[in-house]
Amino acid sequence: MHPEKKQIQETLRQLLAFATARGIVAEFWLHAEHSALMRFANSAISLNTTEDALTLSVTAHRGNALGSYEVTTNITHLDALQRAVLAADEIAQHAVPVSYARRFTPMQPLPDDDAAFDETLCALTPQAMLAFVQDATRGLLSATIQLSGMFSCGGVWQAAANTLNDTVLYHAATDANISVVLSHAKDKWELQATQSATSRRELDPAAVRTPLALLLEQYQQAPQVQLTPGQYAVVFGADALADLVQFCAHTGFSGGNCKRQLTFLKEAQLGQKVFADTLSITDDPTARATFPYAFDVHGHARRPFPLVTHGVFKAFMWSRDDADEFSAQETGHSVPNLSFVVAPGTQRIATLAELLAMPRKADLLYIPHLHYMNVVNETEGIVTGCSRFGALLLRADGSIAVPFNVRITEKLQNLFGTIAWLAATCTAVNTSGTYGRRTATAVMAPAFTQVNNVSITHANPSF
Amino acid sequence: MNDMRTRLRDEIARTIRRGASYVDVRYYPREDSEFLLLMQGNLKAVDQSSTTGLGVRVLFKGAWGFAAASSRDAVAAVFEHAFANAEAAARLVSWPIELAPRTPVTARYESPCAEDVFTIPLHDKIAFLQQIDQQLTHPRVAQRITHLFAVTKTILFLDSDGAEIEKTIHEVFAQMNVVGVEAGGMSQTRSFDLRNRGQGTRGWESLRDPARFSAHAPRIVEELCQVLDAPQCPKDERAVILLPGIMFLQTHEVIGHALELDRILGYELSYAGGSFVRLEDFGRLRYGSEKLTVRADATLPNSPGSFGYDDDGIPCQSNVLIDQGMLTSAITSRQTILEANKKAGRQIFSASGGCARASAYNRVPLERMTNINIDAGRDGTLDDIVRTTKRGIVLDGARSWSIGSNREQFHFACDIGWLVEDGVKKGVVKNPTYGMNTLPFWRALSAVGDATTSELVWVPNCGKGLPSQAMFLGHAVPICRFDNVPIGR
Repeated sequence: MHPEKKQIQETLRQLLAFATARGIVAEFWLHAEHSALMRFANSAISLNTTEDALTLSVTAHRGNALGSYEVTTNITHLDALQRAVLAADEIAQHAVPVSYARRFTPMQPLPDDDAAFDETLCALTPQAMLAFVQDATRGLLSATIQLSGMFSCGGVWQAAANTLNDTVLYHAATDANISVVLSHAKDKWELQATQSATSRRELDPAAVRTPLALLLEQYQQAPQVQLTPGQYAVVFGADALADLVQFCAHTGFSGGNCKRQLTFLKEAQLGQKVFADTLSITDDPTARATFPYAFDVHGHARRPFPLVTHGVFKAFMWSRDDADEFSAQETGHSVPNLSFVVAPGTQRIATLAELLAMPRKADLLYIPHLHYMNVVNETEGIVTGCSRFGALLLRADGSIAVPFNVRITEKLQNLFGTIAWLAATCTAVNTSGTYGRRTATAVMAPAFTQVNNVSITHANPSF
Repeated sequence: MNDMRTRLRDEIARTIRRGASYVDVRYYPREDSEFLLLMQGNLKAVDQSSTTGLGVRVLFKGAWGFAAASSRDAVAAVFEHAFANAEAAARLVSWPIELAPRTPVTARYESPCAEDVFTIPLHDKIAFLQQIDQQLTHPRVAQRITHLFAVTKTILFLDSDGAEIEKTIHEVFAQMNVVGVEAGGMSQTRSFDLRNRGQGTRGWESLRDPARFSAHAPRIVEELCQVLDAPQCPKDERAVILLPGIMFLQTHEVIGHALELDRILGYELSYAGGSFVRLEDFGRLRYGSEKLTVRADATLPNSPGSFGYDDDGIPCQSNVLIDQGMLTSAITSRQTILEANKKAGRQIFSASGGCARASAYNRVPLERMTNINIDAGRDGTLDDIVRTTKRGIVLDGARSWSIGSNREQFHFACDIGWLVEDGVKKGVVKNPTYGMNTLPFWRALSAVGDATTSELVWVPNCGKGLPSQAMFLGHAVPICRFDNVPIGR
């Protein structure tokens, strides 16, 4: 039921003409999506959904006053879309101007950004999703080991335009976000393996099954242990590291939030070493696996943007509105998602099996996933969250134990400042939320990262 | 609407003829929302939206299929997709879904609203926020943030059992927030949300009542200034006395979520998590001290957790979940109680608790909190509770929260704390935090304030489910004290 590219572009041009003819100054962002999500629980498909939706967002400008109106409807309902243009302008008329000058620039022509679109992934059938999950869990399920998880896939078709010219920028992409969870029917522990894909050919159930099977073997055989709170050397899996890096977006790298006194990184630290030498983070829209955008919602072309290079803080990210308010230069960060890429390290450990076999001189706590992370204090950079989905205690003597879940409460500066090593192999971690519109997001992160001196502040006495 | 009603009825009948055992549809002819954001006196956002759409749920051979579209023209296609999705889901069924019986009703419901926010001129709403912004202006306040969020939606619910319910729901939420910076560069924050006591109406008039919102502006500025000069919260073990501004979240996270029956049955394991509660615990588990009685009460006249009829078509109701500390019931819907009873080998639940709700046309109904409330106690006012506290800390403001995946433990950070020594409330401390395992915490409940201390806090952002949903609900909670809780960690 999704609209065609030509239909989207033509509709936006009609709306540009409609607005221009009425002297309305406005920006447009059109979003159409097809989403499918199959959810699993208790070794069954607990829900199988599809959704088709289209939303037009119009932001009208009256000097430094803005008004926004969003309509969710069908692309053929041109009258409803036109009413949204009038409504946005009506709001802008009654809005109060901000105290700073707002930038409004013509869209620069850019090639259509739809090379990553894969119709076969967008149209993946429920049967294919089920087959993937069955392959990924073959031989692992039983009366006590049950299947949970989700297979989400779909596509978006988006376009941006404004009334300063008739350029319509177009973006289309597909994505899959797969989480396969094995849970113990009575002991209340869960194991997880995830996969992110931009096209159908990237789907690989064996890559999900292998780490799941190994984790399951450990959880069924190794002794369970309650840890003592204290300082631990922790090996974070790619999922956990991606979560931590994403927390830096608002509490570290946002220029607007820095000016609002809500970040742990400060302007005075630009050009200074803030993290370990081994850590480099870039917002890289050329990294296909991160579902990147070639332009932001204002039509600003996006380019690789180094944030941290060998531990040195290089730059804040600026959305247009924040840049306008604080007299800074916008950096193409008025965007539906970010494309964080953490540079690989040199440690030759690519798989969980290799991590378990790695010689070690001290105990290592492996945490593949962090649950319910939150910021305790923004300017101190303190975050807290719990281990989940398959933590292991890798003892110095080579033995392995299964720890009950623990809570980490630590400063991001310490976590990123005491990195012992990063794996040489990176993986795409799908970090998409499913709350609102489909917005695929992923972080490229090393498969494993060892951080020393992590504060474990609580340890559960059981699962 | 009548034409649409007929089309939907026809499609329901056609889907039943194809073999579905149950079908329902929620049609949203219109959902309007408005969001206004004022930061540092700058009107950062004036966003309005209008949404039309329908969502169809089909039960086929014990499996759910769901489909949604934002197009009114796609009615037949949405039913077709929902049926196909259910057929596909029926290929992997471990416990066929069986809906609990109920009598289908024909009904209308409208939430109480005297002045529709959408009829108030925009400049009046902006002026209202500007007035609050002026009250928040102070040399030590580095950031002033005020926002207003309103929603009005009409939902037509039809199902294959013959139910037909039309609901119009009005919601309004507002928050004011101030940020200050200490000499050392650390920021502190203080905030207040629009709330009430569960009575009255919930339109623009609720915002205009100073006692419910604007009058709190000078107080939060004054308290922020106190925090900016305050010493660090000590690392200690003390009695914590929770004011409603944090008590609501305490109740929400480790009673509300822990007692959602779908979580207990393992249906949320891949995302939100499970629950430490087991089916064998009902009627047997001492959840808290005898002072703890908890209700899921969707019959309060005025709260986002009161909605007339749930999205299974069940009338709203009030049910005791924890009775004088003993676990008695859960947050339930038609689709889980029979499964729970069979798995438990006994009847725990006699009927749906009326808690199935979807946040939007394009989301499927799940077990969601309604108003999860704690009964007021007999331990008097805040002063009375402080007077009987040897060493404690009074806490307010939800700054940060993080919960274990089975809701078995938690960590909260608050905006402000006041130390209590020998029955006297002393000075303010900054960065107060507390955390503990869930059951020992509720069992350490040693004082529950009287009805004058109870406030109904509205929650606009309870997250759950895949695809995820942010739900509106409420918590009526008194001031409560818990003994021997680790703080400052």
